[in-house]
Amino acid sequence: MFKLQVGVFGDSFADRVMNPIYMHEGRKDESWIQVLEDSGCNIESYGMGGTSAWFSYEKFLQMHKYFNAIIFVVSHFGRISCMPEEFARYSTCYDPSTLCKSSTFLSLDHEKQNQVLDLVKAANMMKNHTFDKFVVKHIYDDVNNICREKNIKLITLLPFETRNSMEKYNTRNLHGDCLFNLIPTVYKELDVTHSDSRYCHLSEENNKILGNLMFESLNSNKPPRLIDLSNDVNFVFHPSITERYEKMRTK
Amino acid sequence: MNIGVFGDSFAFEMIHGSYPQANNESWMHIIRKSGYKVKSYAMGGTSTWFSYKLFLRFYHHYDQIVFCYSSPNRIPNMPEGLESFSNFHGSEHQLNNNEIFQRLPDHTRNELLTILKVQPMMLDTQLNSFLVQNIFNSVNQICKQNNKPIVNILPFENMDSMDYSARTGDVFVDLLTVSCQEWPGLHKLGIPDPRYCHLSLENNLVLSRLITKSLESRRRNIVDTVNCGDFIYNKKITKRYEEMAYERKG
Repeated sequence: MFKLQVGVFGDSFADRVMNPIYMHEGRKDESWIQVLEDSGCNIESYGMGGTSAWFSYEKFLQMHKYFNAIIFVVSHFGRISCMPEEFARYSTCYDPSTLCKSSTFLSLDHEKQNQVLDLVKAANMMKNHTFDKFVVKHIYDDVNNICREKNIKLITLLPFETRNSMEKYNTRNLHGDCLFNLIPTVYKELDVTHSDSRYCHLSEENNKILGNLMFESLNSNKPPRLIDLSNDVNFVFHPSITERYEKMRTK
Repeated sequence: MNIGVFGDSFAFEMIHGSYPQANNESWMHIIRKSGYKVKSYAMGGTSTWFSYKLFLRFYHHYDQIVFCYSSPNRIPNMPEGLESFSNFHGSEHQLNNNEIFQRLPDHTRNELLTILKVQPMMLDTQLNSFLVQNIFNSVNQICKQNNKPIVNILPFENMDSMDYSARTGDVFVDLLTVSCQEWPGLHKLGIPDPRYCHLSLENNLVLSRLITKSLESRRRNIVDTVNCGDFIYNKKITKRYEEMAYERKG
């Protein structure tokens, strides 16, 4: 049987590496990426938490040729595009006091910590939403165009975009399904601001729903769809699920 | 005809403050003298993003457009007021002697120093080339939609370094090489270029003719300025500018 070789690119929504502080014996990978793998896809994920769309796009340009299907997660446009690869996970424009408390930052040596702080400080001064939106919009176009030209199946996932903010993208030129507006589900399930105990910011139950939707999309020959994840998909919400992840955080 | 010009030092009508006596020899001034109305929004040392923002704001005021794309080795999104430092790679001493830097308020100076400190780490040529390509596509598309003839000048690119298929007017590439061939020893002097738009008066005249001809004909050619045979290389001309530079150097 024809097996899908799937390349996954993106930020924390495509990162299956769990923060070690939330790992406990017996905890398995609950990500939607694992769901796809369990369904028989061969997957290579280049996702990394905290990175920008430009980071994912550069990886996509290098690696897309090795896959017959791509899942491209578009990060929030406000992240720092020009972060050196070594510090790519700090591309969220943190305020320096928050950054200093993060465990990944604290694991850096003193010199590197200073470099990251200088970069973040400079990037905050250069922050420009018009510029950032221009970059992300053209990345989205290019990913669709390249996959179309090379006949690679594609799903784009834009967790941070709402129906209104999707207007900046050219959605008439879709090559594959475009899923957007995942953030309301993330927050409805668990109100997190900085540190999340869930894989890809979703419970195991909702990762399964997302993974199954993606599997169905990759195996479909229907015309590409624009799917508002906050309306068109029935994610599950239950206090016992929320409590499970809350407990991990408070531990 | 009303021409709007956008770009960096290759389209900048002012010369470095160290050469206050120089007459305006820019190709824009020459075009103006032949009866066109020309307004330039260009500023030396800026990025293509800087020019694009101004283009989006003002292109509708003009019948014809000349867009000059900067080097991809520049920081694209410098904060307002610091755009002309997109390309600054000099020492602290050079910065302190910079006329624009001297006029900045203290907090803006500190802002610039913070950015320049990390500039080598933040410079991403691939990102900048991606920007130049997409800005090129967008500018040409907008001009086509609004029926405005356009000339694209890409001093830092060659025939193969970009995809020019979205062009809706002529494309002139590699003007930087023309500038360097005219005066190969300039970079060794370590002083600002006394030539308007990095070209002698004679070559500004050549460029002005190429631009007006192109705007009138509405062609879509890609012209390699190094090999087109129009530009003039003459030691006497170079010497004229060398003398200006030596005079300044003392």
